[in-house]
Amino acid sequence: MTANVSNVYLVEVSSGQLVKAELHDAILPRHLDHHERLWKPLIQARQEEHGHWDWQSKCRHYSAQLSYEFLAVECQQETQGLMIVNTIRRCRLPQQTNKHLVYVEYLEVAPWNRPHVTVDPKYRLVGTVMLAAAIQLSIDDGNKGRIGLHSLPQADTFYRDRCGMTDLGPDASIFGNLHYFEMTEQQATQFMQRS
Amino acid sequence: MSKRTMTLNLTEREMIVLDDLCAKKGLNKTALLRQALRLYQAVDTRLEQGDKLLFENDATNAKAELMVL
Repeated sequence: MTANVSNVYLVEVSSGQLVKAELHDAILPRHLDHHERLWKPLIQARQEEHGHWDWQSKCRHYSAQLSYEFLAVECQQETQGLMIVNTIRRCRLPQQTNKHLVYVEYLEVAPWNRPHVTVDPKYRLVGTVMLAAAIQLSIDDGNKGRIGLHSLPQADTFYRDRCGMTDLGPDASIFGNLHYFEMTEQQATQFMQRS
Repeated sequence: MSKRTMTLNLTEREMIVLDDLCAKKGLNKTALLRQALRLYQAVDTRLEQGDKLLFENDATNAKAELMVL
């Protein structure tokens, strides 16, 4: 499998400098290998909520379906983030009910980049870059940047305060009553201008 | 992903429906047909797995199964 690659930039925390990274429009075998060998031991050691996420089986399961798109962020030969989005979901916010959006099914940032995992994160902006990529996919599909997702509790403030998404509150239809967040066209424009 | 181009021949009625849906959804014809193809594949996969496609009306509580060929 081949992937289109775009240049993106992350902040290397140790130097405070922007460093070039690659955004792939596919999750390649080496990304899955990094997750298995490099991420998983750290995630399992901390018994994180999403520690059971098996990206190999997710990719196997979803890859035949056109409605799913896959993205990976790579920097210095290491996978920094993985994301799977669904492109056939519809909006819930009253002002955009029933319009199409890009729904983020799974988004995971490498554990060494997450401030609540390590006091010394390696790169910042991985989640922001992936969310920007989801917004761009939505724009490319004619959906004007509308995106939606269910957030794990530790990420609620990131989506609400940093990304400016609308919090529609806990969703009783989802295991764990995760909060559902949605981004409007206007919020997407603001997010892209800030990023 | 690399993209390929094709010519699609539609009847006038089909083109009217396509134009109407594009206007309603704010999508161009390519985006709408791509969306339709994704949805058709997703529905077909679920039906092949033995699932049913149902429409439910909250107001009337009526449920109707959609027969997809």
